[in-house]
Amino acid sequence: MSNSKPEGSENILIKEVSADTITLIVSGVEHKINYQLPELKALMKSQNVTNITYENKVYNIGHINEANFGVVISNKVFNSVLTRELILLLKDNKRPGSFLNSLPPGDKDDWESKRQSLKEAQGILEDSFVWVIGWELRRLFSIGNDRQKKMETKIDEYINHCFSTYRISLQLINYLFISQLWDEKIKNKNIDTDKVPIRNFFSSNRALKLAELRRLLQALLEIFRNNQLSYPINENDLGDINEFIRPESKFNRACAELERLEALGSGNETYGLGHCHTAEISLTAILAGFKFFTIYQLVTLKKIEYEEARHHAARYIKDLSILETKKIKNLLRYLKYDNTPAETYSVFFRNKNKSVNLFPFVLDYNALMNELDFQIFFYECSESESGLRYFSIQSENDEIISYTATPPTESMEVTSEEQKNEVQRNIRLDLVIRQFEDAMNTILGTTFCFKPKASELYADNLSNL
Amino acid sequence: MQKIYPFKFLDSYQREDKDFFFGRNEEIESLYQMIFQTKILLIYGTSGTGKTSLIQCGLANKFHTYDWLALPVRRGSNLISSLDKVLCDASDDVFIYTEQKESFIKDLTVKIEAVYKASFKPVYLIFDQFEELYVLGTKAEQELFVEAVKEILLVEEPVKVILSIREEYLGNLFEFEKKVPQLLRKKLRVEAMSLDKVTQVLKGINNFKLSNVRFRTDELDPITQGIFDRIKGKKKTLFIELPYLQVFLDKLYFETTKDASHQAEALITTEVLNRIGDIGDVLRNFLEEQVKCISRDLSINNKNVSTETIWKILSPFCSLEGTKEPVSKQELANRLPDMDKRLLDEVVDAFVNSRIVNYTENENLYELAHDALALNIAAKRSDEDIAILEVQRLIESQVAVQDEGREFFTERQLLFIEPYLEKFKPNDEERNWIAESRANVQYKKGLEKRKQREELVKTRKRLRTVYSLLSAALIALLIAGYFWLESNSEKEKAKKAEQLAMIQKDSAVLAKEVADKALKKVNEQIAIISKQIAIISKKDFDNLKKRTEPITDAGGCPNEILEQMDSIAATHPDSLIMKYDIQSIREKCPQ
Repeated sequence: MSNSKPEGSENILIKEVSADTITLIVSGVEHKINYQLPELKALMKSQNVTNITYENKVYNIGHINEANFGVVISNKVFNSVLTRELILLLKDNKRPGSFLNSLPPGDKDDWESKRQSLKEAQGILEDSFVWVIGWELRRLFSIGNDRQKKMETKIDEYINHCFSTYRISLQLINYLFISQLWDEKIKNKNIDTDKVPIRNFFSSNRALKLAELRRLLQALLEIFRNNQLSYPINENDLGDINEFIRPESKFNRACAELERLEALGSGNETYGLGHCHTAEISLTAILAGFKFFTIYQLVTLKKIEYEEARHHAARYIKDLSILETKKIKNLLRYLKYDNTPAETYSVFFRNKNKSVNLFPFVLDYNALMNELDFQIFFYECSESESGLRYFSIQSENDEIISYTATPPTESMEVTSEEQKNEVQRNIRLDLVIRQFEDAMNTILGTTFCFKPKASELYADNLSNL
Repeated sequence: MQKIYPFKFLDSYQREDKDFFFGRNEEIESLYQMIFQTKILLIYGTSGTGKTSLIQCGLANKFHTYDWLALPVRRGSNLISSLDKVLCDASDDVFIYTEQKESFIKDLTVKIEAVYKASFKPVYLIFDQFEELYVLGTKAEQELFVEAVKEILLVEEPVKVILSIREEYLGNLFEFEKKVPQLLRKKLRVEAMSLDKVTQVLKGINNFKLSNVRFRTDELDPITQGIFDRIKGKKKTLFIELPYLQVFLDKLYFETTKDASHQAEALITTEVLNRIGDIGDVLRNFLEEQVKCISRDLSINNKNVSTETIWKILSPFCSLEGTKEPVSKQELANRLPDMDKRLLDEVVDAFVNSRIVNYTENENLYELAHDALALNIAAKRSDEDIAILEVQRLIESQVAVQDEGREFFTERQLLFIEPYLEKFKPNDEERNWIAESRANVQYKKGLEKRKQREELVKTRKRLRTVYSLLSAALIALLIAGYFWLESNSEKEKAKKAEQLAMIQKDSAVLAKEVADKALKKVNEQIAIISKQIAIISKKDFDNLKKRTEPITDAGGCPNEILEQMDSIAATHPDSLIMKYDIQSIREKCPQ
């Protein structure tokens, strides 16, 4: 980008802005600095200049703060950096590659500023990531593309969804490692897993903050590395785990930046466009670090039926749903017939080579309720000693699953279909609690037991969905 | 901050009315829970229970704007075209709507994808007043719509279908459910307003800080009960209808403030309520008041515009079944050919100003503000008005069918149609079809006569054949009778012969038994002789048996043996060997 206004010594001219740098003309000499307001202010102070020119507009640096920094010096639309960088990251994949190759030559450098190209790329990105990340990206795109939304609302929603996309990414990778660790610990009780971040994960009665979730990831990675455990994700896909551990890595710097922004909001600071821009850039770096989320999918096992006839081998009929869209095969839900049992209500994170069951940390709530379609719940924290709090990805509401201690009996008289459905529901929800309890006790070496919620035995407490 | 008038009169609540939409929390929560469990959801209830408000305000506000793209679809003149238009308009110029000759939606899946990609929001297709498809739509349109829904439910992008229908028309969904079995899996019935819900509404309004209407707090309960009782009237019911409540609250406000612009602040008390007294049917009264006002106002500039004229002009806004029917001014003119067009325009504008009718700009259609008004308008119709509507319905439904499938009117239908043809203005196509139907009836009559004549000839021929056959049959019967008698006597003879044969058979059996006994005796005697001969000499006996020549030399044969041989020969003349040899022995044997 260049500016046609003549150079002058009374103010500094911004020649070009990129994702990371600003190119300025100062007294006829070109300077490049990092895209950071403090650096710009320092440069202007050193030149004893108060005005800065950009795109034929003159600004007084004293009126620029972090909130409006982005809108002053950037004419990029929401999500342009996120979209562009992620598409380029995935350029070796079929659809992103095809998209980039099909761009007219004149648009190749600036396609993200063209509405149709931007939307097409965003559609590709939404489909490229594992469903929960794709769903959050969809929200970011929706917020950013909404021309009718008031700007204050847009900024607020956008930045909060940068936080939630980051949070969900961290949670997902943490669940993967925790699930795998649970299995590894059963095989080898000597693995030292009693770490503070892991203890907090299981026993905290509030949702972990972003920084705590990141520390948990680092603790888990260290356990896996130190004990040479098998990773839940292919190591080639995971990349260099030091990137997630070293504080000065690009990934951790981006995480720290987002966490800092989140803390600002908690301190009642009003967010501005500049904050959104920073959040977008940070999230881009984080998702680049989690690139492996593009080569896995989430599959829920809604139901298993069992059939056996006389003199015939038994078989299991598994009702599976793939959450990601498959443009080519259009395979979203299918039945699988085989003779091996499986863990019911599983939510698999899988590809051709790996498969990890994330239950009970990730649930398909509709499968537990014997309903169609799917609703994905992410574990958040404990709810006293009688339940667990989950976060619904679709409704963005917290839901509590309470332990009812429905007694397991060999047989039970059923007087109505409603009674049967209710008992079955409570048994399934109790299974969530007991599996969680089992995971916790195995990993931490504790003997904790959930207690039934005394006032509502045998009742389903989910009334605020 | 400026205060807001919280009552919506007969309009439905929209997303922005969230702050003063009360009394439906349970229904909203149920809907919200269900929407995550299905791709198609049905909401039903009687007219005026607030189904539209529940979706457009209640459910909508449970979602953030980035999770909710509501696309309301009304039937208009055709539900398929309307859906197509809505999708094209929401596709961010990827598709431009043009009226299609084909009645299906081209590239439906691609259009939905384009709508989704335009905003990245889950799409909710809301088919409000869905009963219009069955009240005003053709069978072909209904079938095409079902096919479209089947296709929509297979789309991978997040899209859901919400159908809102009056419960009187639930039965019409039978065929739909056969093809889309999940149609009725998730549904919600919206009930009329109970006293409890009315209380929630009034309390909510009272607590709403920006409301310019307040109820005296210490009188809230008696005011609520008073409103409920007045609307309920003498009916033995625990519910009142929402539009009646809305109209009555508006009336209460006006009684308090006399401000039609709804700017003034109002404090509603039991005293104001008591001033109103009994209200009868509040909606009917409102309608009649408005009709009177319009009649009076228009009569100033025009010749006497009677209330009957106003009711007549209102009638086309209501279908035969008493549901609202959107019409354009042109259609109105066609249905009321005798009315002055200028007067029609003025009356319609007056309807809009008095909030009886709403105007939809993008479709250029006028529609009653609420279904509940339609019932009252329908009740005002004369028998002739109803007959005219029935005739119109009959003609439209037939002419709407494609040429290949269209049926002519029957003679009976034509007789019904004829007297009313001049009372409305059928279009050219309809007139032509009526004329063709008449011709068809004449043609069929001619055909029928010819057929009858042919039938008569055939019948006579048949009769002649029958008579001939009968005669032949009679003769055959006589012959058969004769032969039957003959065969009977033969049978008797045969029977006797059989009996004789039986007797002979018995005799033969007896004779056989006697012979068997004799044979047995002979054999016994032979056995004795044989034994005796054996005593002589087995060898001699064997030699005797083998002999074929008489014995010439008995030499040494004892007499007693010879005597025994004699006796055997006497009693067993067939015993040839013995006889033969005995004779020889006797002849040769010295005494």
